[in-house]
Amino acid sequence: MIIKFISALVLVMLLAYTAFLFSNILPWWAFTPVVLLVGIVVPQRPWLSWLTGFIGVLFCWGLLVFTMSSDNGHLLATKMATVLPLKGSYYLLMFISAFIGAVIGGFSSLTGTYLRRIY
Amino acid sequence: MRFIPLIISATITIILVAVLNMKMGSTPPVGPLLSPSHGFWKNAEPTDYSFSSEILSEDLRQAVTVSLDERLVPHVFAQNDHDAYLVQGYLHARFRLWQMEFQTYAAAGRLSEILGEKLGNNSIIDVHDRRFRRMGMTIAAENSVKATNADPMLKEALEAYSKGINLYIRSLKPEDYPIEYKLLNYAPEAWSPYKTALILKYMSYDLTTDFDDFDNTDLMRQLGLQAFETLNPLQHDSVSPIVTKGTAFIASRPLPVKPIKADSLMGADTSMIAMITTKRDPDNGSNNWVVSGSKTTSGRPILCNDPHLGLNLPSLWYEMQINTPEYNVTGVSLPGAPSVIIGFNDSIAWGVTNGSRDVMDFYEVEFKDATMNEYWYDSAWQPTSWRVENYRIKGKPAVTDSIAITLWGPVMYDTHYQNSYKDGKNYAVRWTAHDESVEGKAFMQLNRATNYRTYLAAIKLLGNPAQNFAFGSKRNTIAMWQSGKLPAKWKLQGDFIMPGTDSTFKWQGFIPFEDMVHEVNPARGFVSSANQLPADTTYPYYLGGTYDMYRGFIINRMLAADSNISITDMQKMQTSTYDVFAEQALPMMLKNVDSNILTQKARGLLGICGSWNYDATANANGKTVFESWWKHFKDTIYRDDFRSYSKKEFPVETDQTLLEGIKRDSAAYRFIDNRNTPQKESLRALLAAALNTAANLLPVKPLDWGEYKGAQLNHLLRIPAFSQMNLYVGGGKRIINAVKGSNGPSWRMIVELTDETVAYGVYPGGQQGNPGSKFYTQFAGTWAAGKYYRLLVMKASETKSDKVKWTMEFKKA
Repeated sequence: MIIKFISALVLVMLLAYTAFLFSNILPWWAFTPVVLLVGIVVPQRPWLSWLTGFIGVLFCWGLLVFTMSSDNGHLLATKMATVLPLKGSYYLLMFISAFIGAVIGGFSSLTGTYLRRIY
Repeated sequence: MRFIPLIISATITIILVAVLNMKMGSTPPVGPLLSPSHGFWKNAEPTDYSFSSEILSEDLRQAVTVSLDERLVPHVFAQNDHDAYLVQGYLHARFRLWQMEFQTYAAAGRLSEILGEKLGNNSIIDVHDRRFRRMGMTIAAENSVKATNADPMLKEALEAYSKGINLYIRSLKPEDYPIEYKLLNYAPEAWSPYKTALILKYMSYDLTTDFDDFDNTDLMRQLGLQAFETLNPLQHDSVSPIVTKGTAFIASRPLPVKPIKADSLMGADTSMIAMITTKRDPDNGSNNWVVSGSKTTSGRPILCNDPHLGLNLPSLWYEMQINTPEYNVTGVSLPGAPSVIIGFNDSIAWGVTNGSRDVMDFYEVEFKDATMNEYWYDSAWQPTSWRVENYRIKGKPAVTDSIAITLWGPVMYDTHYQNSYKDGKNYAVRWTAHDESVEGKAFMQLNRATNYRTYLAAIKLLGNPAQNFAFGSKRNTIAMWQSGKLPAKWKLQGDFIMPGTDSTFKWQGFIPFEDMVHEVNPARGFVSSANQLPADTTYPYYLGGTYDMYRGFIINRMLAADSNISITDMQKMQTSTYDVFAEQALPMMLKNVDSNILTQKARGLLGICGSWNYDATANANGKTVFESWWKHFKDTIYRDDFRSYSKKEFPVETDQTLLEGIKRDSAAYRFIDNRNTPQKESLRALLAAALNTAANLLPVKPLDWGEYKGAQLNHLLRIPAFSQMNLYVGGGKRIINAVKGSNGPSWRMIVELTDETVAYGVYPGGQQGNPGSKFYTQFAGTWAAGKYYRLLVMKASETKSDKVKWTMEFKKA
């Protein structure tokens, strides 16, 4: 079970990252069908599947925005965390960004698992 | 039953994506905005980002190298004009795309397309969009394109420039759009010469709109003409005009004749009510001067210029050098328009200040009936032509507005769009910016000018905005010319609303170029301008307009007193915070104030004021007290006399008028007495009362001028996080270093015309318009501290040297 969970997690992260790399041709939600695929391919219990999608995307997006923002000295994230308004906390802004992706990722993976069960 | 969880889960996923992909009210879609692949994170420019790149274009004729120095200033090495303008367009778009396009939306009255119908409580469509189109901004830009198309050289340049911008726009995917597009959720449009025309007309709007006619008319009817002229004298005693007093002028054409009916129209009539109008910022002004080699240590002229404009982010200016086999120009350009606007080349330097002449007049039009299809003109009904304007509104259906066009021009105000008086009358606007002209060409030619003669040929092409062009050459010629299309007016023409029924009130032609105010190599060894009265009253044409007086006065005094002038001296002078107005006003106030009736706190303030040396530095307390005292004093003098006075805008330069009036004869100054009280007020008591009021209202501490006055660089969308707030700087209105609020020296430049040109410059902002870049406000601190950067003039042989940080290679595809 652990092995399945971890391999699914790694798959989600890799595929979400791949969707990010092709952003010039894919929409922002391109990770959604990809994560769904993981749900279909790797058989898991529904709650674990949800968690896989959630954590996978949370880490992938979290790492991405953290890296992008660090390279920028958090200059823009600090400003955007005032515009949005989060009192200038760029870590909170990073978390919110990653969280949004993660929730979608969770349900996407879950949908995949239920799809698998039909067959 | 296994379908149910599937359907639920799938539905949740789809709804989540759909909701996050949707915009809610003014909030842009959250999903794409926050996603790492498409969101604002993509705009977070890495601090070690490399701007080096290779750009391919089918439109290029030859290869172009752009060397970017450490301040991100591009040095363009092109082999022909076409390629130079194409690359300039690309660079403007690469670093300033959102700002320049936003300005075209503002100029064309299209802001509600991207901002929606309302912003807070303000209706964007009524306050901005309809106003701009009814003013004739789109007519003006269309006419400018017409003139451009008749000029092959200009047309080619503008088309090449547009190609460069579009080359960059086409290379963008939505995730690459500047952050403001993502926040407002729209996409850039293709560029065209029409958009460049809009950018230039926006400058005309900023510098030459003049709605004083309404307020002046109101004021004149309240006071009568004689008192109006006391308040608004043609020439103050202390004025130091642009050209030396006593310069002889001979008109080369017949002077305009005042219509017989004009005098009878300038009578008192109290039927109008006081009002406010939205006007251009009265503090928009500028300084420029050139010192001849006879007064400098190097023996060569030094030219200085600091145009005062709105201090916005991204900055109005973009610094660059353009080098072609024909010319080599360095200075600041205006994103959205080709050429360098203020700068120097290998032979000459030039700088501009606003001419401040009145080139916008209003005519009251009488329509036959509510259909407005005919209007009365020279004893006959004339047919109106109509211009239908369409307004697209974000999130709402589009609306249309019909503008009546008369022989005078567009009817800006009518019953469908009232002026602030709400008087139900119809006013047509005649404005020189409507006329066909080729401003773009004036600057193209100026970039190439090699001597006084070619400089003249270039500036002669300017229509609107009229500018004072300072000039210096390596051959030691210095000059100042006012240039632009200026109507030849009879005395007071266009200061008040004119009747639109009578053709004798038309502008009777324009001032010929050779009659323009100018001065070449004067005996005093310098030329200067600071938006003051251009010449004394011996000048044959009427000089109506709104003029500042004190900056010109102190500049001329300082330059006259100086010799052996160096660049360092000029830097000190350009950033000088000396307040010559206070120097003239404060002793009068200290001498006359009745100290017996001062409160204890006011006495304390009197002490602070008394020991002040008239230098309005950021930490000067005396300046804060003086400003507050003067303001309350002025209020007590005028408040009882004018209904419109309580409003923010008052159509008279009251500071200089009041001071000059009192200096001339304080006892006889007609506005001192408060007409609402039985007793006769004295200057002494009024000054004391004003200081007591100031003492009540001023904070206890701190009284630092820099904090009291405030200064900031505003993002064009007024987003505080994208602005630079609370700059601690001195200076202010009537002072050479004219920083006030978000207005002030938008570019400071000093050029010494030695064999190898030595130039310094700085603007408040940075080369990169992206708020997510470390270059965004890179220069702000240097500017606020009154320091400069040495302007690099790169040679073609240096493109591989260590002065170059990044290289952009443009190649033919």
